[in-house]
Amino acid sequence: MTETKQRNIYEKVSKEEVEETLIAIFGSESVTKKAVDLYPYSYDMTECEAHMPDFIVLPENVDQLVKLVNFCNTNALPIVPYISGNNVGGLTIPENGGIIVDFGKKMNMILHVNENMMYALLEPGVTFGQLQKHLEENYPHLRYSYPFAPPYAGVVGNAILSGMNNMSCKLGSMGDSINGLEVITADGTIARIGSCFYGEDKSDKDSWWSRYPMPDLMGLFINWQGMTGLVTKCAVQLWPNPPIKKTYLAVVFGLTDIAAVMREVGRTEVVDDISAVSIEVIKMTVELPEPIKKEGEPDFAALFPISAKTENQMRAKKEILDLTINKLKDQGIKVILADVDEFSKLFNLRVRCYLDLPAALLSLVEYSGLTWFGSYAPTHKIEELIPKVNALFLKYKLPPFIYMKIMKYSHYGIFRPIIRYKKFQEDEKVHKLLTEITEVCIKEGCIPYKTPVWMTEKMRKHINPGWLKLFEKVKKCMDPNNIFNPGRWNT
Amino acid sequence: MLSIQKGEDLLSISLNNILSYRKEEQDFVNLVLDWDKNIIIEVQDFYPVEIIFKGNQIKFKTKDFDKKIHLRIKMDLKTLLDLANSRIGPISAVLKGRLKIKGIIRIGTLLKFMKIVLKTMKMVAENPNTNYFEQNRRTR
Amino acid sequence: MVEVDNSLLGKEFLEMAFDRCIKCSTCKYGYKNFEKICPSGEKFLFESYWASGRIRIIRGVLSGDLEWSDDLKDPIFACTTCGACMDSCQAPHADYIVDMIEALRELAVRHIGPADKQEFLVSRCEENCNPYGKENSDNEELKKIYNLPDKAEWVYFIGCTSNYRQQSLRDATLRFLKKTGIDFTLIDEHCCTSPMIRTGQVSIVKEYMQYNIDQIQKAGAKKVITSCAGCYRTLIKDFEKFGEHYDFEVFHSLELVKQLLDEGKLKFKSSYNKTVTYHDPCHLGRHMGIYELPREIYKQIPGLHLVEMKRNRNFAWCCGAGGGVKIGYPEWSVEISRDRLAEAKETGASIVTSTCPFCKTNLSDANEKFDFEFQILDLMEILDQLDIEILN
Repeated sequence: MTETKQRNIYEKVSKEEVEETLIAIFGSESVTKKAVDLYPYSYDMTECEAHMPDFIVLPENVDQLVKLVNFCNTNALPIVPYISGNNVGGLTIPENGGIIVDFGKKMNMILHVNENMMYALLEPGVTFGQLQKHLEENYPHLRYSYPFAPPYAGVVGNAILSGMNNMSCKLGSMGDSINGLEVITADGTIARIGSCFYGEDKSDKDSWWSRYPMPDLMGLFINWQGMTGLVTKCAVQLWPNPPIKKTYLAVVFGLTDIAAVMREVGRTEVVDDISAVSIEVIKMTVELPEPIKKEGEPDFAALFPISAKTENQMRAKKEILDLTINKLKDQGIKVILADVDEFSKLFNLRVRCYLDLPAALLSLVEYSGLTWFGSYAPTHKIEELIPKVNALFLKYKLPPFIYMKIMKYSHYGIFRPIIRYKKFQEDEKVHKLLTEITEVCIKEGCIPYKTPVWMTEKMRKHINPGWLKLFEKVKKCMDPNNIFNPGRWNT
Repeated sequence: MLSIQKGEDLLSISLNNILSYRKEEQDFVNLVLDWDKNIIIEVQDFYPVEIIFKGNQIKFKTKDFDKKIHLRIKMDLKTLLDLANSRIGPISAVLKGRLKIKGIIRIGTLLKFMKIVLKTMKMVAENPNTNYFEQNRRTR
Repeated sequence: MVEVDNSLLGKEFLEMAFDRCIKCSTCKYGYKNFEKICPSGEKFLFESYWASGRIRIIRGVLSGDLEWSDDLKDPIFACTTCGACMDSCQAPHADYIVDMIEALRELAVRHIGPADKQEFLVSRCEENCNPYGKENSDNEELKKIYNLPDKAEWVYFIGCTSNYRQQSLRDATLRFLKKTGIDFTLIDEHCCTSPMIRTGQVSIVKEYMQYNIDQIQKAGAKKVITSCAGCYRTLIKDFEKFGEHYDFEVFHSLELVKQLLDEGKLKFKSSYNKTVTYHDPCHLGRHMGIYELPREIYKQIPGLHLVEMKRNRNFAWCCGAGGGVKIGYPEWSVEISRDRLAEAKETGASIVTSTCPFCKTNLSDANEKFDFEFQILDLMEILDQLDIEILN
């Protein structure tokens, strides 16, 4: 099974000494090396190869983590951050063994919500379900943006890995919504990044209101998959929660016409989000695990949630949406718009799981495996991407599952072919399909986020040498002993 | 006890969902039982679906329709949703050309079909519950 | 694909572990209310102590990635099998999670034995037909006291916990049944086998199930009534799962109470002027879907003010006794009940009531150990305190 890549991590220090030190830092109940405890962390839902960690630790505070980082840096021991393990990219699999730091169990406090400047200061282990509950109970006039992910996915992980959520047409990448970070670097330094940088020791909890305008060090930690340091606090922006919300469903006939619908609706600037899925995905929600698209059925369905402060504003936004849809119809695109509340009652209420975020989506949790090519995509390429990827699904006899979004009012998009499968039976087939999808999509300019190691290996062949050189330089500078999630991005 | 086919296309899935709403209700069972009719519904831009009422079974077909069809109805999705949500009545829909009855109009069949399908659709649409996660759980 | 030993009763559930569960972790918290629901996860924290972690342990041991050792005992056996994970999980295998854990335990017992002291559940049964090690009562004495026939339409299946630990509950039920005038009797019971099934020690299960069926049939009964949620769940669900068939109906005592109320045959002549909060037993609530029935009864008792704990119905926090935890992890078991009573305290209730003797036992132990000053009473005990008239 799991053969941890040889790195001779116990060259400088014995495993027993490591265990003693970890217990001294975290306490015996927060440290384990038992194989039965390590095993669930050794692999995730993807087809990425499993690797056993050597230890799991459950930190409670930053001081413990500073001690850990200092110890690991001295002894070149890998540290892998873990929140919920729900990233679909093998990011928490310890490629080189070492110590998994499970933030999810004890460092999961919502530290502060500033209502005036609208942000929440979070520990890394805070989950979407937790944040949503906290806001609904205590700050109902504020909202956050939630992904197509279960409630137990990490908010901070989603933000620092550029997640895309149900307000992303408006907001873009969740990485753009970070006001501040507190990090621990390889030399054990605690640094606060963003407007919270004032104050020698502890920051004022009301000072986490902006990423700018100082030299932007935040980019050293966003999308680095934990390779440059440990993030111990993160301030994420919140938004006003308008009282009136309505979601419209568009069904589009014609394999590639969905692209134009998404782009044009995105440009209207009236919708909070645009998410489109292959029609097969709608059927997966109603317990048809391997659906087939029937003749005459639409090809894609898209959701357009709209929010408004007043009924008049809602009507005005709807009018703009209707005008856009009608214009598309005049251009020959077959698209039908419906109220999703009405549609879902007649079709099947289960389809509401796509609205009621965060949610466990049956289409994703059907089997024991889930993997995808999740990418940021140039929106003008969607018409080319869809038929190519669709054909690949059918080649491997799997129901097409394409998920797409429009980000930041059509500035860019998300293109995400998703594969659900039975782990232990279909890994090889799935990996082949995913490899082909990766090659097709990278060729069209898609950039995968949350990348498994084999994927970044492919990407590197296309990346300009200047970027690669700078990337390696930064990594080496930030993590000279390669202790932070080593192996990611083929470091 | 009625048996309603699950359906694998969007319209059949919807019809199963709608008709299942009342399948434990004795009045509904009495309406449907042994009615033995074949009805085709066409939703514009979609595809026709045949609903087969036979004995205690309700089945759906999207091709190879039966030769004998007792009723053919055509409407668009907007009309279907308007009917379900009582924004338009069936007579009004027919008069405005939004609901078309094709071929010979069998009034008795039409009225009964409205009782079975339209009335049930309205009941489903009126139900305020939207908590999908409270449905169909053995532990609830 | 891994081969699973055909002789394992839980084979199909072990196989399910390979095809289902992406570890989305929805099982960890109450779905949509995001409350803490998993006693073992909240206590031990590592992934191996949550439902999705246990499913991974199944994969590990069957694939050979994990070797059997005593290290595996705690993650496998430190779980009350309360079913909160089943309720939260939204995936197709949701309804089978507890079956999967019990199947894992069956497998574990073969390789490393049960958790500490759990083996006494079987050894005591082998000596005395009950897991408490009390001298077996064939209930003949009780039949004499209550003047019960040898054969009757109904059998009151007392259950080991009521018969050997919570006799006030047993006696309150007996008095109630006498008042109803129904034709009932008692049998010489063997343990319903719930403790054995929950702890994977299934060697005597089928024999005991058949014995109990035979005794009920010998009494000529067509209806069985019990005041124990655990026996109720076992008689209905586990007997079927283990392939034991019978031709009688099984009821919980509260179903009879409700029926009498609905028919207007049960009249209250006195009031119960207390604030009461109801604890949903896992085996009645999440496992059998019965939440409203008891509440409808409490609400009809004059003067009784029913208040709800924050986590109620399918979100109820387990009492901590089930799944072999009471005997295997006694200190932790009572801590779980302590958390439940702390929640009850927030309601302002003076009485914590339930419809399961095992819940009553553990809640009472926590009540005493942590000085909560509640009265812990079963529904039947509350009814026993009231002046009630039952029209035949």
